[in-house]
Amino acid sequence: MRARRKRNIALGLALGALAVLFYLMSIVQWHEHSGH
Amino acid sequence: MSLSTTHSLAYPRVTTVGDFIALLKPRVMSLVIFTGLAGIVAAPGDIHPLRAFTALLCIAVAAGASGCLNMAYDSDIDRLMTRTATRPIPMGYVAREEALAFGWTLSVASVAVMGLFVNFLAAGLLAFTIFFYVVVYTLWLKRRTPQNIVIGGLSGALPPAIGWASVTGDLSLAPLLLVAIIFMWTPPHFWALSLWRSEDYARAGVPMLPVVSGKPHTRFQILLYTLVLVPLGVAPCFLHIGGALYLAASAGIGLWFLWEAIATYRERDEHKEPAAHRLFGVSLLYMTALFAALIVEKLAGLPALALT
Repeated sequence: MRARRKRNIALGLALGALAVLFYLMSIVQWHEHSGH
Repeated sequence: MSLSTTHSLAYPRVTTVGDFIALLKPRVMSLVIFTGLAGIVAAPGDIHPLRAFTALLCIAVAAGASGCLNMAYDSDIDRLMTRTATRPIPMGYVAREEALAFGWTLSVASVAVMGLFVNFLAAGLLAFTIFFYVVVYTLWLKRRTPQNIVIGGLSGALPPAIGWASVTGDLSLAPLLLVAIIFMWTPPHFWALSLWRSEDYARAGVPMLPVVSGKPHTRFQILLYTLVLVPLGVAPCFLHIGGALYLAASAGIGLWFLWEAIATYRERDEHKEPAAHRLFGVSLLYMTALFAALIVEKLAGLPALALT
């Protein structure tokens, strides 16, 4: 059970990090396209 | 990912996070990250740091995914070889189907993110790299020809070009030269390893050069490739991407590489293969030093040589 919980946490963290990356990259893209 | 247990172990255990990390071949991945970073740093022009990070992350994940798919498709022969028998699939820690799902998911995700946030050329090159490693090398060439690692080496050679394309959006002679260097480096590197692992490969039925053509021919081929590689390694100084530090590293360690290739050619201890072990170590040092020099020079603002 402990190993499975660890696996779920790792998967959650990876997906969370991907979501943050998407958010930050969206800001960068918007910033560049709007000519700031 | 379901809870998978082994069918081949006396004491079944649950798949751990570490098993999935092992599927990504972290050591291979670290070299790919390194050469990809060199491509990003050496390329002319500016790139937003977050975009550079995203590009490098995609290169790393794609490399890991390729390694994972390689382990999945080769699990039948991996269990026959000493070097690979302890990998997660042969050990029964991860089911082959889970590894396939994991690998293909990461492959698609890395290419998609590269296309969305970096550019389509970099994404296309990344997709080609995965395709070449998994389909052309693993599924087609590896079990059919002793030229497997020569041709398949192209996939491992492409990361600097992907890094470069992430910055510039196009390709030129300079990144292709970096690709050529890794391409020529791959055969002596892997054939050195195969000299002392030839029995392993023979047992698994993998037609590596020492198994098919014998060790003397392999030693000769190692020397030939090294003779081409060493001058090629110096060539970035003629394309304005290598400076004095790069010249010193590529010429100095290049000559050392050649020295060990000659020693391997003349080696008579077929049991321990000491020269091949040394050559393998020097080849890793050579690759690390060349790309480290490119990165250090660019980050420190050192001028490239203008030898033309």
